[in-house]
Amino acid sequence: MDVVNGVGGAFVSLEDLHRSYQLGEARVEALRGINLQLKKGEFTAILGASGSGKSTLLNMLGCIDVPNKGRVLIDGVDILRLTEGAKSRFRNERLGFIFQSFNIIAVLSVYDNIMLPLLINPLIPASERHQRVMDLIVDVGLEPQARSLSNKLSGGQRQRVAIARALVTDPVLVLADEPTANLDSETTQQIIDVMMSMNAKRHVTFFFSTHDEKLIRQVNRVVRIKDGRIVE
Amino acid sequence: MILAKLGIRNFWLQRQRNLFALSAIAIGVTGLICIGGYIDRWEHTLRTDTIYMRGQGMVSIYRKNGWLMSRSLPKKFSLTRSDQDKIYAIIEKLPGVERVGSVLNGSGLISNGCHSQPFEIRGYDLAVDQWMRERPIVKKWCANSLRFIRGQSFATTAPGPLIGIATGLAGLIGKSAVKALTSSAGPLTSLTEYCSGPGAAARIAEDSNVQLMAMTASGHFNATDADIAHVFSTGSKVNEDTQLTAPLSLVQDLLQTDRVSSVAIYLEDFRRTDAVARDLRERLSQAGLSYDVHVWNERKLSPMYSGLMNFLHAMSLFCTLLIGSVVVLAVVNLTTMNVLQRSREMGTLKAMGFGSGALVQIFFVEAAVLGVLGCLIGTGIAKVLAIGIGHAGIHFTPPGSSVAQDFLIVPDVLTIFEVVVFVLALVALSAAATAWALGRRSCLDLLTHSA
Repeated sequence: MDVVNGVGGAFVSLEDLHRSYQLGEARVEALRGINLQLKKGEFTAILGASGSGKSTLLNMLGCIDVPNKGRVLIDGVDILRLTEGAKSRFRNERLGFIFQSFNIIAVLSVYDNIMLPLLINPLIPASERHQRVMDLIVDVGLEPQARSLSNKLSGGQRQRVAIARALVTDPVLVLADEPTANLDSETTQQIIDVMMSMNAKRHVTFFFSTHDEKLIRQVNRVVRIKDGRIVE
Repeated sequence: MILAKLGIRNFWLQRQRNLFALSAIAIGVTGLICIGGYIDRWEHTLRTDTIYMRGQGMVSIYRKNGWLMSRSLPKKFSLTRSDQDKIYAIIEKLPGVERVGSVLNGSGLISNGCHSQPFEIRGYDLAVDQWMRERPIVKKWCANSLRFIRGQSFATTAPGPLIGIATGLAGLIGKSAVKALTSSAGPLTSLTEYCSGPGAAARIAEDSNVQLMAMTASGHFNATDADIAHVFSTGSKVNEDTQLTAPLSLVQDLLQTDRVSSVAIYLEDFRRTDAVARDLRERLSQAGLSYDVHVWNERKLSPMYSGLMNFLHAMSLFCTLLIGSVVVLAVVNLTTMNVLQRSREMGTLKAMGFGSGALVQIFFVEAAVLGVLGCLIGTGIAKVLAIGIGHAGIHFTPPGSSVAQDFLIVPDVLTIFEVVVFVLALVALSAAATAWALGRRSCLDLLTHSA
């Protein structure tokens, strides 16, 4: 992969990002020239109303959507220049995803869910995988449930599994789309604590969308988006 | 391992939905094994009948064009004593040969003393006849043909000029008795009285004696007396009214020749037929001998075997296509439902970096579980059906057959293996192709348009 410098040497750099969709007869401008830089290890929240373009922006960063115009650099890699196979590898090796609905595989155990991304990761030797998974299970406080099936867990426990799964490959960037939206306030705080402790302990850059005021008060930086534009 | 676990657990989770596809696969496997078992039964029977009961052997040696011409021009197209010696000398060195016998075919008229009917006769070695009747494979697959309708084999009947006669021909000349059962007809006072006097039909029927008339190899007319040792069924309506069998010596006496039509070779393993035939041709050629070497399953030599097997295979191909289509549709339907329902799971895996191949692998595992279970159940049902049908003692008379046959389903291990491999491949490919086609949707599409 070619390494390119972002604006001001930023770790993540979005430059003049545009994305529009055809929705029936109407053309929806989801992103209208986004420029954004993130530093390594930042714990950043993106805030905006529903339909403001938060999820689209996260999808761009996660290499699962492509802009109509602009450039996305993550850790020096222009991800829009990657082939589909290279994007898959990039997602596996450099990115972690935390979804609003947890998206954990219900029929697999906590351990197996966290192990999943390692199965196709060539950078982490098979001999290290078990320990890595167990360490994360301890970190997110799920040791007693390690062998339980995921469908037996509460919402908060499922999101902890998702966090551990997102971190197991030592990604450079973790993307979370409203990670606490489906949780009660007590569980939300627990999840925030887990994410922040992971951010502090592993120096992983977190970028997540949220509506949660409680969460916003605790982050390093808040980015606001409105009608597809950053209004920081 | 985790992907396998994922496949197996999803299979269990969707067990109710899987039940339909599982039933379709199990019924399909049962059907294919039963069809295969039915074909296997006829394959064994017809092959054994062709090779042993018709005295043809696996490989037979004729003079050039002798198969076609030796009956009509025996002097030119049959094997002389010298030919036979040379051929036997070559066969002695041939590996894999279990038994060798000479065959002389002829034709003529058979008479009950009052009227005559045309016949075709096959003379063969009595030792070969006895050996063949003791073979387990013959007893197993040709039990009907081995069983005489009346009488006993040449070897167990009192010596003398003996023949075996097909039921149809026996009926045409009014003969129902065999040598062992014959009471003395008493001194013949008048042929007219014997043939048309009071009780003539019963008298003729009780008399095992017949007269055989034929053109000799040198073109003269010859006749001999013979006794009916047994009445047999050829199994085929086509030649039920014409066939006679006899010891080789009787047919040679009748045709006034020491020649034979062919030399039949019986191998230890019929699967080596083509290899042995090739080897034999080479050895004959090296010895400067020019004879025709035929194998038992050539269409012209065994039209019954070839014709029926071709028909059965065509029928089975048609059934296989039908059953295969049902299995494919059931699996495609099931996989489509599974893939659509689990779009989010697939999208999540793609987001983690899994490629389409890995996703196909998951559905492949599920299909494999489905296929293996379906094959196990289907094979079990087929075995139970086969045993049940075997014990039910169902008989039927196939078209062209002169005798009723047992309705049997006897699938070979190879047939079961082929069916299982075919169905597993079909199931796996259908699932993989469907998962591949549906799983090519983008990660975003899978994540946002999940069922």
